[in-house]
Amino acid sequence: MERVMFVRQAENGSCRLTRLAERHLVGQARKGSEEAARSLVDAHKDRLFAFVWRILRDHEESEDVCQEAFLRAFSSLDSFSSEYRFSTWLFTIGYRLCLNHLRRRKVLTGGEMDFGEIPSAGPDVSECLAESEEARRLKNRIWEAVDKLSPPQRAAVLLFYREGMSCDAIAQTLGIPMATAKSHLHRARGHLRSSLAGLVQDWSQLRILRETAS
Amino acid sequence: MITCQHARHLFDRYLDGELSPALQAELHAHQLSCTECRSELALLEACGDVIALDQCEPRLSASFTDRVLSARRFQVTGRPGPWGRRVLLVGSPIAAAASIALAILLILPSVRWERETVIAGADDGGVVAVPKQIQDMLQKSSDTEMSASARIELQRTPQMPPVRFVDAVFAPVVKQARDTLAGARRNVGELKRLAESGFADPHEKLVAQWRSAQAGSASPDQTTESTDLDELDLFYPDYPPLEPADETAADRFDPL
Repeated sequence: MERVMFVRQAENGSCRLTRLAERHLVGQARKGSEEAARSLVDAHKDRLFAFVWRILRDHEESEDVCQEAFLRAFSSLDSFSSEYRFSTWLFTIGYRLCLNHLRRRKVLTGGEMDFGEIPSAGPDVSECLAESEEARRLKNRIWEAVDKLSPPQRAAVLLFYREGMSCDAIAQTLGIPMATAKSHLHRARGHLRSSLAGLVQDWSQLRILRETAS
Repeated sequence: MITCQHARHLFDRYLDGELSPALQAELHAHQLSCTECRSELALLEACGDVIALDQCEPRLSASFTDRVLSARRFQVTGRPGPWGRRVLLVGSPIAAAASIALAILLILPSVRWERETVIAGADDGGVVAVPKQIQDMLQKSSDTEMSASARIELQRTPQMPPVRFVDAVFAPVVKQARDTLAGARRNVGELKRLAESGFADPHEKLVAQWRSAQAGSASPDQTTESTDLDELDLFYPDYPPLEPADETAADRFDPL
């Protein structure tokens, strides 16, 4: 099997499976092929981990959730409908597991969880940012603002921008009506706008920021 | 020309990619003249770009895929097979019944039943079995109806502890077992007694009876004392028909 045929380059540089490849691999994995399962894991693990980590902000917990999400997806492959993307299904499972973890965290902390107080990523985050000091500062501020969003809003934003999902697909992934998904997205933008108000006076700075981000 | 307020309302639809070309043109025209709206929209677009492209999240450990696949392998092979499922199907109800029985044994000892209390309080000296409720009733209204001695005796009677449910359930079984054991002991005792009194060697008694019959007036005790069994065995005399040596002992013996 020529794996290259089934992989396309996504806009953000990551390799993504085409729909045809995905169906083929899911079919093989359903028959018990470990090689197909490995390909599916390799194709989705980084994206799923980034999404989960953005919500949980804990490396070990995020790895556990990703592993659990893959295992659950594989154990119920028979019920998977090929109408949907495997990634959508996987992100749905991952998101629900994230919510479970957040609820458990809330129970353990014994009170209301302030999602705005999630610790920042630390020095390893800044290492991979752009060279420009100003651009790095702006990016950090943006991620801080994203971290202050509620989990559904954060998930909606990540799925929209990072995964390139439509509002319909976001609603499907998060298990909510499309109007609610749109509402999450719009409210998230509103929060970002108010959090970052006054940060950038000159829009030319933003152009530089966009160029360094890409 | 649209106002800043209208332009801000269009931001979301624009960023969602749902704005019509005509409204897009209106928005762009407004941005050319309004620096504030231009900066705000640029900020939102920059946020989108940073979220989409700035992959600053930590990386998964290198062994992640192997771990997932080994866990999956365990998940697949660790499932019970058809035989295992069958065992579960059969075993589950048994386990459930055992659990319920255990729960009853653990919980119900706290439930105590009042049983009949035997009191010795009648004037004629007999033993009367009085239920606890009736006993309470008697205690309350016995001033006039009961004699003084009966009342004193009633007060002296120690209150028996209430019976546990477990005792009530198992008491008949224990009683049956005790009766069976007592019967077996009695039978063993009978056997021993018979063996000691001649059951072990009926020949001797029969020969004694025969010789006494032959001797006529001779006493059985003397005959028995003069019996020579070695001689008897050697000459095989005509024995009388075999009869039970001791009728009552044979009746009492009941090996079953």
